[in-house]
Amino acid sequence: MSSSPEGAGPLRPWPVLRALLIALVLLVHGTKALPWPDVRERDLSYGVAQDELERWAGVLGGVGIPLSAAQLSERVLDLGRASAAAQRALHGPFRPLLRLTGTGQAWGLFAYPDPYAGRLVVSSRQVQDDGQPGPWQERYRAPGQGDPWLVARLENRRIRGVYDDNGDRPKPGGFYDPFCDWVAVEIMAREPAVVEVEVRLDLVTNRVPGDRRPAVPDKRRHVRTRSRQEVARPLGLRAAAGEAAP
Amino acid sequence: MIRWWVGLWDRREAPTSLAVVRILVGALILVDLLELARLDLVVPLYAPRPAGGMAGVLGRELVPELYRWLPATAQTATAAFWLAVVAAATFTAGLSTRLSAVVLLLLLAQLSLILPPADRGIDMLLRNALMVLAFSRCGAAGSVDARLRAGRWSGDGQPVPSWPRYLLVVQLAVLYTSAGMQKVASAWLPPDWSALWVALRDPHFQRGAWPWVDELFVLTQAATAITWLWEWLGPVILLAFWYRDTPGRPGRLRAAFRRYPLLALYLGVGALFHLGTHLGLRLGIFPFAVLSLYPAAVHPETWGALFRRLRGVPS
Repeated sequence: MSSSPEGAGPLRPWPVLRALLIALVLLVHGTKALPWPDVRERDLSYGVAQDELERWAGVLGGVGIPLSAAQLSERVLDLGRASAAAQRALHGPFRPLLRLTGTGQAWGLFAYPDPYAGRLVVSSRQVQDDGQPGPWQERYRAPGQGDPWLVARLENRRIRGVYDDNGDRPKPGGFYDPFCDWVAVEIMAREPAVVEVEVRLDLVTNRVPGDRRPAVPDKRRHVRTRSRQEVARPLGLRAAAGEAAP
Repeated sequence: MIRWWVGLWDRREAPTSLAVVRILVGALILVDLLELARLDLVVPLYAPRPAGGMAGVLGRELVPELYRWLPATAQTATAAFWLAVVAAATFTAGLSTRLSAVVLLLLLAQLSLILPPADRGIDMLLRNALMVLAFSRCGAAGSVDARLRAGRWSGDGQPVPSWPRYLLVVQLAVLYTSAGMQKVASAWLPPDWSALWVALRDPHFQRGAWPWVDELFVLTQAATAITWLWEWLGPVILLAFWYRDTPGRPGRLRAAFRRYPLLALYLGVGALFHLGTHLGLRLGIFPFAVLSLYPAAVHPETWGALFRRLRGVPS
């Protein structure tokens, strides 16, 4: 059993201070774990967010609160702004420490499963005997199809984090273009005959079984092509570092 | 009330549970880091863009301290990464345990700032655990430190503060409860209950293009409902500890907790859930990272009895 000294003798300063500090830690982390409605305009640009707005507007209308999806969107954004302000006030003083230690309580564990998912597809083409670029060849298609060395890298959980969230966005995030550069460099460094690489995130529409609407084919999205000239600098850096291993 | 609160965090117990968590958390971080090295991903993930990385880290308002204090080069990224690998190894082995934990925590935090989307929620959970373990005496058993100090791997047998173990247990309860509270998307609620099916159809998470998943839609709906309910029941963990701590008080729920192993049942369902999602979805280290905290919910005496039985020592 744990020894439990509570109830015996006067309180000592160190245990009191420790109990106070733990209470503070629990307060900060406990309030960080609350489901704050952190919604910004760009969050509502996702297809899944638009679906949710439509559904919740319908639910609210059904219980006597008539709101259009656009009106609900405005209310949600107001709530998001208030939530951000409250968190700034509550957690602001602790932010430097949380940043330095990389600690916090931010997770949803698939809070919003996305029926409009992305599918990463990578293709390349080589120069032909006549000096012209040849046909595109698919090198990777999620999930798991392609050259094993490329599959292992693209499906590493940290690399996946760089591109995964862009599938359903109208525009990809700021890390998408550097990611495409990196993919092109990886392929070109290994295969000198490759002259161009294409990276894209096809939009996949998943309809639940029983949904009678027609199936939607994958839609090409966020297409980026990179020629050797365009990635000459990172390619040179990689060669200089001696990383162009077969 | 104040006396109870102060006393709660002033308890002591054997260090076994904390040592098990330390070894599992440290080993997991070590394997995860070595996988990045094996795949040549250190420079792409952690070097600044001019040095071959993906992160435009230098143009930001808040540049990570690593690149404020040291040159923003691939060499700095590589050195920081390998220092983290060494710290993870020494932390796992329990060599200069506290120093290793602090160095590892700070380096992982710096690396996480370089390319934020590459840092997942589970990495933050592991850093939270590291932070608690850094303040604990998790190196008092099953460690090189224990061997050097006491001449035995099991340490000197002195009790250590219990509060870090309690905080890890609270972390588990908070993780599940807050995840449950955030699941307000239609896919998690009736009549949809399609969340797990949608996840199993996501090309970036599914283990394969399995057409038969559609045939199991009703099963995935049931699993979705169970997952949602199970996460909302996260406070069961804290309730079990509270009831165990106050056995003399009345109440039917308390009596039920005394009669049935409800905490073990809850954690058993959790372990099945994590292993099941690992088989169906590519979640990286996520299932194992969460499971690595489970030993904190087991009392050190139980671990002690288990280890004695494994060694064939009569209890």
